[in-house]
Amino acid sequence: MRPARAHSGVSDPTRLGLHDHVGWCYDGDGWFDDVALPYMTEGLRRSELVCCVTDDPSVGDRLGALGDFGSMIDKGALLVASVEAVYGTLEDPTTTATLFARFVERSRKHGYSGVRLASDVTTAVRRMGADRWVWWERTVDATIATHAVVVLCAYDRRRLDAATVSVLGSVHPAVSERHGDGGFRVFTEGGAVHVTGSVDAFSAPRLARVLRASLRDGPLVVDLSAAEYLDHCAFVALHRIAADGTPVVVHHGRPVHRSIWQLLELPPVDLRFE
Amino acid sequence: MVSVRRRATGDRSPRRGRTTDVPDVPPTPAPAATDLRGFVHTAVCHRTTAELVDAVTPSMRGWLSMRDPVFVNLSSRRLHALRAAVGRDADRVRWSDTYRWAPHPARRLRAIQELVDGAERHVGGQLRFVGECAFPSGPPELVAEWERFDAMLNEVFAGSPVTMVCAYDVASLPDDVAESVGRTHPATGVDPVVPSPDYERPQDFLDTQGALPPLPEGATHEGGRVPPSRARELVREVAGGARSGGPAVPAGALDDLMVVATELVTNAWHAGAGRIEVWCWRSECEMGVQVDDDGPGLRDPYAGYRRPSTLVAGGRGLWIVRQLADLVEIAHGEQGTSIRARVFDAVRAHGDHARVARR
Repeated sequence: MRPARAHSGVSDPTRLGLHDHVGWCYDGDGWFDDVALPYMTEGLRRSELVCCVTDDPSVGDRLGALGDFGSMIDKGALLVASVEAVYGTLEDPTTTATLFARFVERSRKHGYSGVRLASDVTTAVRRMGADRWVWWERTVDATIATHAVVVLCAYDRRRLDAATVSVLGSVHPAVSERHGDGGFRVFTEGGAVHVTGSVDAFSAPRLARVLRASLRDGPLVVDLSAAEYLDHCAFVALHRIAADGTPVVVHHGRPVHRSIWQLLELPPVDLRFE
Repeated sequence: MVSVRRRATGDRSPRRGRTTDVPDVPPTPAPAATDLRGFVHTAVCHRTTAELVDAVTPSMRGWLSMRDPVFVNLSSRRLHALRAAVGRDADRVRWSDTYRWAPHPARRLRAIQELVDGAERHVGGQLRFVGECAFPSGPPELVAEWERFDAMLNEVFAGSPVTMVCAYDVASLPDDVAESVGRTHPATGVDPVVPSPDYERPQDFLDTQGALPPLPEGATHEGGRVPPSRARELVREVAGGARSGGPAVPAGALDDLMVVATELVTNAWHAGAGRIEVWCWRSECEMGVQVDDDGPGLRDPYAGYRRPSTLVAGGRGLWIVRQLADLVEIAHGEQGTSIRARVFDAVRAHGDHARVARR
């Protein structure tokens, strides 16, 4: 069964709902009006607590000048905050994700149907570095999968290098049409790390990077039900993770995946197909 | 009797007068397969099942008496005849049908390697193997691949404690196949084992692949410098039937061909080829892909045949290609290298390696 959270080529942000987590790359100045505003409007319509995270100081004033948004800010149903205030330095992504989960739960107790977050995190990625940000994205994705929240992460392509844009696309279950994911995406659903798309020799190093950012206590459970293609380089990456001490369990591998694994004839590790 | 002239010590005068007869020194008899240790690769050409059974049974009894592990892989009729002839010790032999046990050259090579490794680790002694190729009734390229398999045995198992006795029913094989037996086997016979005067080194035998036959009519072509992702799309569109609406693809075959196409194109990219062209086709009985590139080419005639090293993660692309595809052909030319890989419906749908249809 195809995982529910995987979407590619999202073009209409108003169609995103709870548990969606989309990477939205932009390279013009119109993303706020064209994407963020309709996205947030939809959240207000759904009685969600809407949060806008940005380093653009004019956003708050712009929203305040818009009748509906202004009144929502006054009521506290629309929050505007800076990147620094929300993410800090992300010294401890796990704690930050826990606090975020509690925030979502509190919003529900206050009568909201959930939380809708529009976040331009370009400056956060640049400040903290792609590796730390990838770790954060993999951590918070597990929270998004299990809590009443929808998140849109916006990135300015003009201010990030191509490799960073690729890896950011790979850590979101959904990506915008223009974002691209470099062939594959990794996300959390049902306690497993799902791989969707294709991984070959050129993208396997990125897969390794993203999977290592997904390691937590316990085995790494990788679900391949939505994977269109994996070649031996992807399994070499899994072998290395297992060789470094994390047991790996592969779910829904196809016969060709098992064949490739057997043909690799690498030193035995704790990796099994179930 | 051979006459030998003897001279008195210090006598340097020309020999004249009597000769003294010395008993002949008989030539050293050629050994039997039972006597030989280390790598022995010998062919037994026969015209009837009875001939094969008569030739091999004494050696098998000898091996079993020495407690050597014995593995027999023949066609069904010959299997049963030999088993009956071996008699009460037959249960100590591993018997298998050549059209059921790894009936594909590259996969059989791997399977035999696993047998040899297992025998060395757990049993010791000399592994004894009596087998015959699973020659299909299909295209001559498949038969040629079995001939290359025989040549590869000499390279892969050199130095290994294994006796390989290869049975050839010359009454039913084409003349050119029967002729190649002496070229790919260092010896013939089991008792005695006689060196083959026509034997060729495996690298010389393998280096004889000529130009590939013409591509199938209607093969779809993509030129330029095709990336792996596009090669996969092409396979999905053409071989997967999305474009042609052709015959249904056997389960798993499309996945295998996509891996094959990706590995071949990726190798070309890694080799720095500027031109990487891909052809793909789907016919009534097979599907395939060919990758042409202008890179430096494969200069190793054994490329993709040997089991990969467990110590190095790389260098597995062509090994995987040879294991997943039903037939891989490689040709070098002035323009570069062509590698053609095919998957046959009869093999995938029915496991039928004996009756792969002719193209």
